[in-house]
Amino acid sequence: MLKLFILVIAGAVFPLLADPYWLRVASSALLLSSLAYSHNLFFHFLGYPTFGGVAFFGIGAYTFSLLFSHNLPIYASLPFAGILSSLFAIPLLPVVLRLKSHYFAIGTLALQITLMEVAENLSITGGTKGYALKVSESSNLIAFYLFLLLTVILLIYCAFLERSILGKTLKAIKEDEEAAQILGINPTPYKMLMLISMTFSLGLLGGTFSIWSAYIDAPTVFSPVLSVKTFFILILSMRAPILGPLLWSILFELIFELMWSSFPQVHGLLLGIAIILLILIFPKGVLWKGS
Amino acid sequence: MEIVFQLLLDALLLAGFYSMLSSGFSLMWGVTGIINLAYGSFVLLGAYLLYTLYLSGVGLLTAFFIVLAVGLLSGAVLEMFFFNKLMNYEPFTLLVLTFGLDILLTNFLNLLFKADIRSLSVKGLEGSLLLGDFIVPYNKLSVFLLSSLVISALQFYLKFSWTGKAIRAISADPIGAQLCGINPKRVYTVSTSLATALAMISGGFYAFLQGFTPFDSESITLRAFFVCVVGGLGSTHGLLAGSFILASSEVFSGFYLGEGWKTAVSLLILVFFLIFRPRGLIGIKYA
Repeated sequence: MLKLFILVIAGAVFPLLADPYWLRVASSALLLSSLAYSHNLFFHFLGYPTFGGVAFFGIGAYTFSLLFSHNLPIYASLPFAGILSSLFAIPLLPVVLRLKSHYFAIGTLALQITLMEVAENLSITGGTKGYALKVSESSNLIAFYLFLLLTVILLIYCAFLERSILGKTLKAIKEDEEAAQILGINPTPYKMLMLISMTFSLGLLGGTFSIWSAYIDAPTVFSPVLSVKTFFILILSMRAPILGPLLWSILFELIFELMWSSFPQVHGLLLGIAIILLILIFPKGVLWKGS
Repeated sequence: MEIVFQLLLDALLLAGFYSMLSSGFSLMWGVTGIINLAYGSFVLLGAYLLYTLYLSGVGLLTAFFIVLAVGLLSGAVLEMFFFNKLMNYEPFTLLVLTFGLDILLTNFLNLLFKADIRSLSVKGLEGSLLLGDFIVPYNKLSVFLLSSLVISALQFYLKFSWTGKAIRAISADPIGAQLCGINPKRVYTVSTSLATALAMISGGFYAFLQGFTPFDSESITLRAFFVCVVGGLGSTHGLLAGSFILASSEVFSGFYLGEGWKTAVSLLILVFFLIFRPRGLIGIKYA
């Protein structure tokens, strides 16, 4: 509780002290960590690696941009971003129930890239030109606080699940679905709940991302690199699902930013090497128990 | 009506190449259970290697042998030093590892060759063969024939050689095969090495057919994945069926809807199959 309190205060005063550059770095770290927390709802608690979860992020981003550019205020369009991506996810539940691990991971990735291709070809999504949003001067600050808020809410949600009976039920389903069914647990509503939680928060994140970047196009909001970064964070924090994603995201974005500014030519190369090495060294996550 | 037959012919020629393109991916997935997301960048690595060798004056046949050797070697190294270390952990750690490899190789190629579209034009393969009203470009025809040759050779190897039998045994039942004295680690190394070599050689064919950039890897990997899912793992008939469906979906949607929709249509078919028949048309394995 104290740790969380310190975190929130630190986050809240951060924009007062930092210049726009560092505000941008902090926002991207918070974006990454909240992406990781949302994916963790389905991955850590139910064991489904939603490799293409960024698909729902993109749906949220496009929904928000569409509504916002039709003169709906920010806080009215943002909830629709979450709702629409959840609505999109509900028919997918039968797929979730049928596919096994590999097929699920790559199947969702295929969905993400399908949506990218479709968004590039439709006229309603602006085609390859994308969407430019007319946001106000303070949008960077608004986006930062929204990212912070989402991160904190998702962190508390994960911490609550980790301790509650609901979370234990979820883990029972993850460990052995048949055994859980024999104990009288019907897995479907639980999977539904977590799927909706995940996609709703991903949609909100997509909307916030549009406020932040003020311009979206299909390759940015459906970017597979975003999925890889998220899963990289998830693997590193497998042993510490509560604080791990936040701390690793901050560390990762700092290093990434440092590489980007010092070696602009080869930063992609270094990112690839970093991912390979860290996963080879820590295939089960870093041995560090934090809660 | 004429045009439909021409399109079918195009699809058939392309399907031959796609079966070659996805054979390595299918072999690796079927035997080791690894979905290699860096597959497309190995294809491009082969394409760029052949391109560089051909431009520096090496004969085409020699160049292909060099590509084959590099592929076999790098596949073996990849398996022994990277994939092997992660075999016993959760499957998606390997997925993220191969994606990291994909980012690495794509950026490496981009650094060396820049993002310009390169293409390889080989003397004697320009122009087309005219069969009545049908047009058959020489480069597509030769790639089709060479692909058929490689696929048949692979088929023979898997069917009759001792190593091929061991590969099929491990793929069918890993524990049973171990009880018969087959070392799974060796089989994994051999099949990864073979798969990478197939990827790099089909990269050479890819260079014959169309222009390429370092950023094509994702779409190539997805095509190989499409063939494996729609056709089904573990059988050559599945590979051919999947390739033909992919090629005809691309050719027909490219002609009737426009080039921009090509990928979207085949991805929609892929998602449809994943939902309703994830084991594919003729799939033996689903795991």
